[in-house]
Amino acid sequence: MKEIISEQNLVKPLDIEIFQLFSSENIFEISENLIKPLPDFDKIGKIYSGKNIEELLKNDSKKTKKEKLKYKNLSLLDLLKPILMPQIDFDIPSDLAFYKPLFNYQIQGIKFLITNKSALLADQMGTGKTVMSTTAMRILFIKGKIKKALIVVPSNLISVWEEHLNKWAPEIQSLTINEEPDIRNIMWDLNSHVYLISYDTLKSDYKRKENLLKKFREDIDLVILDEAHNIKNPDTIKSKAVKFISENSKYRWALSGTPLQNNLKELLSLYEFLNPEFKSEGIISQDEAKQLIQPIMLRRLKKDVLPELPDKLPPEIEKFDLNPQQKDEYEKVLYSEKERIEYLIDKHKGEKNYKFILRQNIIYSIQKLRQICNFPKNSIESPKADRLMEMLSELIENKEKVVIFTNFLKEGIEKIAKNIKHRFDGNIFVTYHGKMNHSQKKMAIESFKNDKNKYIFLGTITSAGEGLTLTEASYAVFFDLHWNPAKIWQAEDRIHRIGQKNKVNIYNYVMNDTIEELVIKKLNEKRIMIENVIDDIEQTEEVVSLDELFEFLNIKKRVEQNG
Amino acid sequence: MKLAYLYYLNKDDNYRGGVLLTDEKTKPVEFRITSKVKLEELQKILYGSSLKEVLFKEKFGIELLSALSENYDIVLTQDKEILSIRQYIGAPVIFIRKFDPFMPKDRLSHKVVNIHEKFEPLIFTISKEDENKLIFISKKLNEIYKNFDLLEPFKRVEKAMEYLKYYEGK
Repeated sequence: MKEIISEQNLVKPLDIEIFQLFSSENIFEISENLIKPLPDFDKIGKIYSGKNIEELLKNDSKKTKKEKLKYKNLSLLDLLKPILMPQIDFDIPSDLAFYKPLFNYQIQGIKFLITNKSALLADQMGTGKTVMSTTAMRILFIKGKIKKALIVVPSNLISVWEEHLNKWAPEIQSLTINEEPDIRNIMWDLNSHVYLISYDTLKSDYKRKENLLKKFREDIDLVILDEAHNIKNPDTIKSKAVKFISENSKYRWALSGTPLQNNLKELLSLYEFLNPEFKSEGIISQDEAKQLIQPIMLRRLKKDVLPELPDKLPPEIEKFDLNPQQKDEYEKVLYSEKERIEYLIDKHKGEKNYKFILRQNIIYSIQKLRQICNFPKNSIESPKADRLMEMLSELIENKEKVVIFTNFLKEGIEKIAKNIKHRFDGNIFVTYHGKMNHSQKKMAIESFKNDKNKYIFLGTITSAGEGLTLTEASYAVFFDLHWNPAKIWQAEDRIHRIGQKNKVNIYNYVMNDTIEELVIKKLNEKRIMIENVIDDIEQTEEVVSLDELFEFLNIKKRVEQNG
Repeated sequence: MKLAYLYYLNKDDNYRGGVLLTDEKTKPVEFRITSKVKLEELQKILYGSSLKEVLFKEKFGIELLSALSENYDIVLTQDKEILSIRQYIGAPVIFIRKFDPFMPKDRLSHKVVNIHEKFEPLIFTISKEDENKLIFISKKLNEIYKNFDLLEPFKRVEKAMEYLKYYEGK
């Protein structure tokens, strides 16, 4: 008889491993232990530091030093975190779920987005489309209905979206794909909830690395297009790139303050994004097109929701990159001005009026740099001007009046005016500045107030900032910021006061990696102090210290060395 | 008061347990999950009917709860058999489910209703050890139930497990 021998205990212990996702100390942060190896999972969270990225790029011909880059590749456990959050209920106290209480019309907008896999949110500019779409997306993540989302925006709105995602969707991790092409190749493969990208970068990667995008789009659940009129022309590569990447997406939302109802081709291009199965069969009429889009469109005007809006809306900061010509000029001027100031430091050190001389000279240098941020020399083209024209086009279409502030005559008022004349009818704006006499100024104000076709008031902060009542406008654009943040706040406060009847939306234009960025940072730091001295111009001149002015030119060390 | 939602999933012979610790607003405080356990056929035969006892109670239940770094006040479960882990842990265990009018009355059970009729009535059952605490605990849970659905966090754990499964399958 054959003997059966078992060498091992067949009753194996039921071994399990337990690991922690997060502790109570800071549940909305990703705790470090999440990146510990988890043997059961293929995808493990990994920090891609500058060094890692360089290693990954070793095989590439172009090596770039990216010491500061640090991206977290989310682990599976990081990715599922939103699902563990309580369901968002609009009836429960708002402090539980939202960064700030939502207005009723915004709640309606969110519900509209959640319940429509294809949706066009066409509310008028300044009503909070970004807040609504961010919150709706957050709800879908928490419900577990979506796992991966892509947001495509104009490049100047990247920072606006980053801020909104941070504040309004704290459980959602987002990744902005805005590095150089080599780095982007890696970024497309990193795990994240939300990927934020500009139209231009998407277009570039579509042309450059279609395969990467093809892989990325396989499991995409939601695509949000901000300023969706960017795809109004179906024949552009930009439109094709958007439609390509969103091919498998379950949800498609388009945001646009421009109704688009008057241009059939534009409307159909947008509709093709929203409804990829739609195939235009022959020519369709304007009414038929409207009928198509109507069921999936929500549009509210600012005047309709006015009672719900607060008296004072925080300014929206839009950031742009210098164009190549501006960048070149900016770097040259910065270099020469730094040298000049350093020379003056050495020359006047120890003199009685040392600080006064330096202060005046630094202000002069800052002025030069700020002007380049508006326009390059001998050109009326710039990213700020492009955006302003886009904004004006939308506002005029909605019959809204707007006030534009700038600090400069030649590099502000004059060049903006040329842009307006070039793009629109020259009779739609008035200018207001220090070189005009009293009667000219008076006429400009009256014309803006009484003529329904004068949509734009274009003035300098110093001239137009005081004593004017421009309640006809409910939008204000600061084309550039003053080196002294007090002046900005002072002007804003004045607009709010003069705009009590209309609730004013304020937009600040800021150039990335320039003095304007430093100014806006300082502006936030000094907000409280400025508010205390807002009505005292003499005092506000001193709000920015000499050291801070040095900081604007990045020559702090030199100052310290010189005491 | 902190609530520990103890949950396990068995799909296609893949077993997984999880515990979600929440505050009174059902906001997550801590979450622990076990790795996927795939039993061999022989293991299932040899463990037989004791499998549930060993795996869900001893392994998943007790180990998950003792792994929590935060204290918990009540353990909530959707499986009546889990009530018996009370003897190994330091907090009451509640078997929670939707109220059924045809359910026989029982001295260890108590019905709670949402006063706004936002959620369906629930019934809590407690283990014998905590019989005298039933009313007190029910009152506490009823307070929470005024605004927050007490069953909903189980769905979150379930979704989290399905989410992991989705990615593991990729």
